[in-house]
Amino acid sequence: MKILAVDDEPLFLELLAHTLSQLDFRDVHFATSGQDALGLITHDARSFDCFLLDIKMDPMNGIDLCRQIRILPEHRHTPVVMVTAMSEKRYVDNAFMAGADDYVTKPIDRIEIKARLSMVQTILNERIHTGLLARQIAMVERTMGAKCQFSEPIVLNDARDLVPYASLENYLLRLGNMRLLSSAAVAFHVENGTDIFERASGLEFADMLTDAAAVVGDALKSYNHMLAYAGSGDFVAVIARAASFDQAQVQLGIQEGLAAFSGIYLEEGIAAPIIRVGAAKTNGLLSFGNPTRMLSGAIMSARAGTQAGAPRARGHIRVMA
Amino acid sequence: MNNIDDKLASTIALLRLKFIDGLDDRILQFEAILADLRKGCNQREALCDISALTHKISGIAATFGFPEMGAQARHLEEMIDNQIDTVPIQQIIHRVSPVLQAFLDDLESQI
Repeated sequence: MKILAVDDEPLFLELLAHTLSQLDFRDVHFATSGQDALGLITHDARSFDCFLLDIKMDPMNGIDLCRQIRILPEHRHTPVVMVTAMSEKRYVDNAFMAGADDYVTKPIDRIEIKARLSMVQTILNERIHTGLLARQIAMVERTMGAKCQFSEPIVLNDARDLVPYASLENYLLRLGNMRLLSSAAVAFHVENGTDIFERASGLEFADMLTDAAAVVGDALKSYNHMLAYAGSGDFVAVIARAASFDQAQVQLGIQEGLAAFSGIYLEEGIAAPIIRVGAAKTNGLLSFGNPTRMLSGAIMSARAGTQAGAPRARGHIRVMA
Repeated sequence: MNNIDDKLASTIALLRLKFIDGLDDRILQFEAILADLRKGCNQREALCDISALTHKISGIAATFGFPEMGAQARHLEEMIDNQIDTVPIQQIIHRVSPVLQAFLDDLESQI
């Protein structure tokens, strides 16, 4: 794994270098500023597999650096771990909203950083898997043989402002139960997702999901949120609980957004997505179970609100001959 | 695992010496910023610089065997960050100055 670590404290970078070396991470590069980091990223022929970024740097802080990294097409989904002493929720939230996948606190603990980088390796392996599937679908679009599960939380490469579902789950798991009290989950179910999946090609289905993500993201623009695709035609967002979530208003926003696409779908002969918004779900005050239950609760709420009722049976992509 | 722990321990010991050697420079940086504060120049910027310097120390001090130094640095950093946008600058300076002075005295005692 090729790692770039960015921190403006040289002694910390030395310490990190030795710690990572002891953990057998030997392909590690370093930068002491955001600007230097971007220079390394854009001039290195071989892409980095992981970024370790300090939050508090000057003039470009780690959160802004993360945003700049996410703009680069080759690093839209490269795992970013913030290495920081700033564990307050607002910094963690800002980091995840800028595209970070995880964080580890200073002073660094060898066991914790090993666990975080193992998680990164898992994310990389999952993305290689889904990336391969996406490329396979593209390559054999007009031949028989490629299959993909409707339930797969595929990576939508063209969808801006979408975080991987694994990262969203990880964010909730890292928050802890007390901080979860200030968060809520809202889901968006593509009611005719199964029908579109069965009738359209793999690429057409992915394009539909990308359009849906754009419409949902736009409808949520007045809320601080993180949005992910969970598979099975479900999108889920984590928002601040304090915000009064207006389900009807967001549903209206989505319908207006979809209306703008309807002409294009009509021309292509593909059904336009129908998206239902669920109610905001939170974890209870005395709930000490898996925090990601909030996500599944939100998804069930969105599905229950569809005209179709209970979720339909899952199917396979049939690649068009 | 013991071999790894031993190697890391000896690395940390070497870096600890570097950290102690570098405390002089850090103190001088703080003193330069304090001079700006006393002159009344760019006081908001000076406070942000203090926050940045203490942030760097808070991230490494505990690893090098100075947990209290790290905690003091974190406390100073948070004092400034939590007030910089809401409390009048002079009030922040009044609150931070004695804490910063005590912190610098502690840094000097480690040299």
